Amino acid sequence: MKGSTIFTKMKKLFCDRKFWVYIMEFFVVMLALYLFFLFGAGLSSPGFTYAEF
Amino acid sequence: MKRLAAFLMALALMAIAVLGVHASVANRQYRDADGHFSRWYNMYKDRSADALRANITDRTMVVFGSSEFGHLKGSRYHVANMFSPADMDMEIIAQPGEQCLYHAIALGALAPEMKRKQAVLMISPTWFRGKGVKKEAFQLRFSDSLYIDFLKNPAVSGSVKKKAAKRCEKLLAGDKETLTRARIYRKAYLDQDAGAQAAARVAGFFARDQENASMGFSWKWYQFRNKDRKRPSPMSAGELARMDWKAMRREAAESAEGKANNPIYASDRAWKRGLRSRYEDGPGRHARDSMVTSREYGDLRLFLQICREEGIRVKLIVQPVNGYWYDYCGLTKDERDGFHRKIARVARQYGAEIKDLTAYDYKPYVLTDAVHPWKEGWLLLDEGIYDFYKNEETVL
Repeated sequence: MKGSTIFTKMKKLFCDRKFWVYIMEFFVVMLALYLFFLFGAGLSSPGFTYAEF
Repeated sequence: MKRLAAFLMALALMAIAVLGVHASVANRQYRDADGHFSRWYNMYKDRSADALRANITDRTMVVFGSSEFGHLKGSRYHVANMFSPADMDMEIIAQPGEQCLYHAIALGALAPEMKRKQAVLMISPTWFRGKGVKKEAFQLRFSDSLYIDFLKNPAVSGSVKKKAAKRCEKLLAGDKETLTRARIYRKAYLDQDAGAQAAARVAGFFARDQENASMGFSWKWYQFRNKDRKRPSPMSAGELARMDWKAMRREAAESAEGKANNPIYASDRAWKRGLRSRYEDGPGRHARDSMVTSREYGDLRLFLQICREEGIRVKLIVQPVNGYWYDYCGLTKDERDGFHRKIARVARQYGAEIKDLTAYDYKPYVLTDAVHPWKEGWLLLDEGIYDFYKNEETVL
């Protein structure tokens, strides 16, 4: 009975469009953070200027 | 509740994505038989000890440099395009801000793989202006994997490692996270502190993984962008055997004539882009700079000491600077000559070969701006690098 209730709740959740929207929003933020973690050094790399001369 | 479930679901998806990335990108061996990878000018490549090591063969000579390798990359005069891997197998390790200390660490990390025992260090005199490498530049280029492998190299003496570690930690002072990791690595692998070893292994694992992943993605992106790009054809073996460097330099200089219409003979492009405004700010901006007291000399000594300890024959190529520009800026020829004399002394102390291109400081069309090579400038560097490589070839 309990299992069936949990299953019903899960089914309701996965059929909820808003649930998937939340998942995508969280996933995009996590992906952006991960890409920043990988490539952060390149982003903070200063563009070439003649200031050094 | 819905949001919490969505967050956990997103986290699970992210974990799967990250594992997928690391299975496909981060843990591959980046051995590129065509030689393109080892000549690729890229900051992520220079932070991945595993990738750099994978592309060193028995014939590879490692060429250390900095921003000059980013100039005229598409030109046939650029060293990466001038020679085929069959004629000169080299790995280029060069980015703006990579100076003697970075290269000393990289050399210490990669030396066990360098069977050819030969290296070139392209010295830019500007490295030795003022205090030496800037903290921000060093922090940006610092590689955990290279640093760990350097500290673990048994052939490098403890005293060199201690000096390098002290310099590193001083330069990393503004970057708390990287400094913390550098200290942990030093405690674990230099001081042999058992308490730090577990932390060093964990930190090193994640850092190395991150460096390999960013390098892997960058390489794939580079290959995608350049798959249809035609590269300049390298010189053939026959052309190299008949090479008349002087004639080629004359031809290169003639092709630049009329493209440097300014008081310092910089390329018109560089002049318009930023040098003119700097020039119009007035003279003497470097009048107080010294070129003989920099900490960069100590870093250079570390590099040369590692060469000595590893039995690596090294050539220092001291690049020319724009004499007109630096005279205008107050960094006079006398001051620059002091630098050249000191560099020559340091090279002699460590038995390093040296090719000093000071004679070209005032020759038009050698440099595009204050320090970076133009076509003729590249030919000067190419000749110096190739002669050293071939000389060793005959010895071998």
